[in-house]
Amino acid sequence: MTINNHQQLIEHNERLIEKVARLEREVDSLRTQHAESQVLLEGMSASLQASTIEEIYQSIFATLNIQASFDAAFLLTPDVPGTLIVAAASTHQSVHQKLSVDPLLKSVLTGAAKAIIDIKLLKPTWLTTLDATGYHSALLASFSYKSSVCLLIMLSECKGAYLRQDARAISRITGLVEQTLAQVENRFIELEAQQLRIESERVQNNLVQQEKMASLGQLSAGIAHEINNPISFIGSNLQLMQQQVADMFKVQESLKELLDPKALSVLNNLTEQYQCDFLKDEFSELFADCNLGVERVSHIVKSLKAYCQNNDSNWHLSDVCEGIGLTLKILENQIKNTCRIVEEHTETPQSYCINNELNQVYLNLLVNAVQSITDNGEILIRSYCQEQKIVIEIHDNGIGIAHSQLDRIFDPFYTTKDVGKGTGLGLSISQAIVKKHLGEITVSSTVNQGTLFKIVLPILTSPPP
Amino acid sequence: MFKFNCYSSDISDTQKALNDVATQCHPANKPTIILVYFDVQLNAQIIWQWLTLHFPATPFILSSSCQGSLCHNKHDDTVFATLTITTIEDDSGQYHIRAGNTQSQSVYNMAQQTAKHLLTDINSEPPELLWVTLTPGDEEAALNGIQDVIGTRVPIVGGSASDNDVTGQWQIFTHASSEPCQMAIVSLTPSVPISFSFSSGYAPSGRTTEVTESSGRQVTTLDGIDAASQYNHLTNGAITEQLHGGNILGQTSFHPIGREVSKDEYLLSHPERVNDDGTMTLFSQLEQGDHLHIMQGSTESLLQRAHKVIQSAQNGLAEPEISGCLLIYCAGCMLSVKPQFEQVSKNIKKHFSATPVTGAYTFGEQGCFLDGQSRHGNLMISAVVFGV
Repeated sequence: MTINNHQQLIEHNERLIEKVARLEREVDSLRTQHAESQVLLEGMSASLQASTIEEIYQSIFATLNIQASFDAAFLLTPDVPGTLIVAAASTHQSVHQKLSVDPLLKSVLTGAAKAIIDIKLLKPTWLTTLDATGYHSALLASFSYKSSVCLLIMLSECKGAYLRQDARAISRITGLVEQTLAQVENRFIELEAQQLRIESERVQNNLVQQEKMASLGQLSAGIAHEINNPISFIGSNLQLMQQQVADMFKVQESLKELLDPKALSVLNNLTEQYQCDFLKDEFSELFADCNLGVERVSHIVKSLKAYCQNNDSNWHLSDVCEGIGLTLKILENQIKNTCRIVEEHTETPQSYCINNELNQVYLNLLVNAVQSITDNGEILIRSYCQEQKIVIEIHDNGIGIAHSQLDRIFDPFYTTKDVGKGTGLGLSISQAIVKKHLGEITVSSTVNQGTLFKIVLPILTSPPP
Repeated sequence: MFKFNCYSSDISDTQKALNDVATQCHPANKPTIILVYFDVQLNAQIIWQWLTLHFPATPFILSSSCQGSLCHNKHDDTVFATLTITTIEDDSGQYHIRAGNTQSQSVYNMAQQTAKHLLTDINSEPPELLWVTLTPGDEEAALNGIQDVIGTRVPIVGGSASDNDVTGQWQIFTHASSEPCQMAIVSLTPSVPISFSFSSGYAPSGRTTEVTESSGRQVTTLDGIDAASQYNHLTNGAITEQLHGGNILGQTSFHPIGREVSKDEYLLSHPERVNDDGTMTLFSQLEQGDHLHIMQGSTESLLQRAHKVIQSAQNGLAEPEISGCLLIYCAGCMLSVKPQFEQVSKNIKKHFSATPVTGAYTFGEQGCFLDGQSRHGNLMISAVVFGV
């Protein structure tokens, strides 16, 4: 090989190496941009998909791991002044642990991101708190979230895993994390606002419903009063008429004994012509039906009056189970074609209670029970005394309540009913009423088998304080 | 504000050389760190005392460089200065120096200890670069010791101290002691961007061989044949006269052994001596199974290479303007082309007229390749450039 060839070879080689170097640098730059774009995309995607903040954190960890590989990562938020709390960890360790802000953490919280070659050398106490004594390198960065400065700690088992350029890169990424979290926060705020709007509508609906109920109560009380007068004179007149008709038939019978044969024949002909014997039996049945009708109307009016006396919120010593019968009367029409009612009551002692409010509890539970039954169901209502307490059970064999919903059914505004069909307040109000009576209400349910509500009330010998 | 300056003298009398440099230094110059290269014909103790007297609070490294050092600035172009003093002023940067002494421990342990002390000084925060000055002999162990403490990602660049005739008179000092040390490590975290390049002026000849037996820096056989014989065969008789033993540094300077560490990047080893048993000793370690290229170079390629390595480092900066450059040039290469070496200075002046450049001639070079790994090699050139 000649010197010239050799020189050319070297020059060629040099050009190649320098070209490779330039390309490598460009690739590195593109790689950085790509990684950052990926973090942004992942973050945005997470904000759209995640339903909890924990999911967001894990998504952030996953994307940060692409930018700067770590063996463990922690996200800390401010706690009381001078401390941070672990909000999330890549390995679910040490969450909720509290860390004192030492000078190193302080410098990152108030300044730039920092890479540490061997964190063990600095002996920070938080390494033990985080159960992270097995790690060497650290990358620390701060970012803003919800108007506070949070901290990101990434750890690696290798020494010198992170360089200054990694700290600079992670600073750029934390900017994206801030943006992502801000968007997530906005999304959560929007969801919260939406939830509040729904709750507000429910409250409004409930108020309207209560207004309606109050109006209906007043109306019912007025109607009951108005019906009461005519029905009483209808009843009195019916009794009078029944007596008078009976007297008329007695007159007819007396005439038959007193009349001569010719006149008797005329009477018999007339009796036969006007079917007086049939009428006698018919009158008897008609009067019986009318009396029954009057009696039923009187009973309904009496029940309505008893139920609708909303202003009676005083404590009375009475039978706490008395209202069950009244409530069933109110619901009679709703129940009769849907299910069968089985009642098992044993005598219970009288206790101080607000009947009207307990009636509302029975009504809520029975309406729910009826609505849960789809076809020829049965509602078993039991009341008994056990361990010096009065127990009322309402057990239906309806569709039941999902296990996941059982914990929430007493929450205000929680409903499994279709929108507009339930306010979500019935059971929470019932629970409040029972608690007011120093009792407790519990529920057990099996999907497709039925639900049992159990009310346990203490026997109160005086109104509770 | 970052300022890089270099001053030199070619006077052989130590005190006069120092006075010469003192006249060049700007009186307002308050360096953050000082790097000094000297020809072993000067008295290192006098230089050390002068430095501690004139710059009492400034950390410095004082290292010998083979037959002088290179200094290029606006006013001066010297390739064999007896004394070159480089000052860096950078209040916003962070610079720390630690010296290591074997004190009956291994080079590896010494390097580990030194790196640990340095890591404490820098609060365990990674520097942009470690500038190392090692004593020739077991640089691989020194690098391993350092990397065991700081990891492999921090770039390590530097050179091994040298003397004028390979008689072991090389010396390294730091501000910490007037006694020479075995190694010095500088952590550099300047306030300006930094970039580096590690390269050689050699190309593969197309002839290859494989290490079949070796121990440390001694190669017993190549391709199953006595190392010296096989090397002589592959280089068309470059060391025929030394096949029974002797120093071969001069004969092998244009035929070093290369290992391809990444595509088109070769780490070179300089064969130093043929031993009586036909084995060869090199200035760096080879492992059994290493695939070797017989490299070839020329006077022209070595003269052209220095400024190209600086340019390559410059390409790594986002902005091309540079404040200064530290250059490590293999003493073996320099000696091979010494009569024409002024050309190196001319090439630097042509391409970097206003940029201060300090160059040391070393008996071993450390640098970082494109694969991000820092290694020890021979007949190599390293350049570190500081941006603005």
